[in-house]
Amino acid sequence: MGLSDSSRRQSLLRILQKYLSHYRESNVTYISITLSSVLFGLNGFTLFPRQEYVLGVGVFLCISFSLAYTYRTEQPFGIDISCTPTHLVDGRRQTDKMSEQRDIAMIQNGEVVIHGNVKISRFTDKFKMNINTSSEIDAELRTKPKTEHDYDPVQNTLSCEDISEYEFPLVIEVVPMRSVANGSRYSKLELVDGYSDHALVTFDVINVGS
Amino acid sequence: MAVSNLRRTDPVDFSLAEHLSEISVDGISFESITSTPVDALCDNYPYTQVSHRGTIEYTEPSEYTPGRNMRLEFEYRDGSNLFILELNTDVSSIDRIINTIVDVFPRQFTIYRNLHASEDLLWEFFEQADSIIEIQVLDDGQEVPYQELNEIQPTDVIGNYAIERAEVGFVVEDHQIVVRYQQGDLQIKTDWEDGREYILQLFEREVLAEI
Repeated sequence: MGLSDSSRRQSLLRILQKYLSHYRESNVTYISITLSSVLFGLNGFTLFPRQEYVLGVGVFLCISFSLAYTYRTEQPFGIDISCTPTHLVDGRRQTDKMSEQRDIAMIQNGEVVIHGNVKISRFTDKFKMNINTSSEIDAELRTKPKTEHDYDPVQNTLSCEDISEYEFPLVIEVVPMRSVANGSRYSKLELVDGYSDHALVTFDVINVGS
Repeated sequence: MAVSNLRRTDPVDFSLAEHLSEISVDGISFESITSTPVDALCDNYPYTQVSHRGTIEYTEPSEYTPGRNMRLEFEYRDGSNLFILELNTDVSSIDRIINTIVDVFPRQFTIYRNLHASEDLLWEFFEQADSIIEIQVLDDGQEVPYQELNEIQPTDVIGNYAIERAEVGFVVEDHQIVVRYQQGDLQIKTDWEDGREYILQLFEREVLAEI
């Protein structure tokens, strides 16, 4: 897959959209807007010499801090993963839409297979993704998506040091480690960015077996 | 027809056969283990390896009955680190059999649930076939024939979508071989006595040698 200008533009737009979406949802945004409003309000009074300059710098710092804080706490923005739990129905794999809408994955007949599609920004040259689970379940990639990837099944880490393929599928098999009677029905599956430790995808996994 | 369940293992630095034949515990025992060098059947075969083959006597546990006794053929190929279980009958859980084997093994021996083969190399393996009967890929979690994805050319699907299952045909020295793949299971149907070995070697060359 080549690096055309249009795909770079799409990547940039996706990163900006994701960043702004996180920025709008962040609490620090409300704090910075409130502080900036207060500083604007104070400008109506004469308090000290060169106050316009000082208050302007204050507003600038508030907004810059909130932007930087969002970047630091919400990154990465260059990786998009859409995942859906699936089950075999009459021997054919089908999406479990009900579970997908609730961000849950249900273990039926001893497993749930999660199918994902990963899109990586054209401005990214490497990635590292950890598959983390609670102790009640185990998760393993069925296949390594691309030859250029490294998969360590012990650490459960998928990584690539020199990306040339920016979109690839992901098939994760999730199985219970013990029966519900000997463990718990509820557990967690997370795909975590290996550089920032931020969760990219989270599923509540429910074992509906016995 | 037997289903070959293929799994990746970690390398082991000792003779598997020596240790396995000593094992006979409740629910599982190993018999008739032979070790033979693998002779290359396909061109540019990348491995020089020994194949350890034998039979496992396994009792499938049951909650209400004494359990079902079954004989399973297994093969371990020490170059490609491939563990193959031949299943002639339905079993309630292949994972349970694998876990039992790992548990009774005298040293640390890891058999993974899957092959971790590269998806794009799997596509290359199927592209080697003389005929494609069907290839089903996953599209948003849904199983779809690879040539029927909306607004996507089949050439763009090849190598870029996850294969859920496939059935392809090979013709080798006038022998017909039908290979069926599903989630790491290979079914090889042929009238040629070397057909299974030929397909395994092709699979090792095309898919596993690059891992």
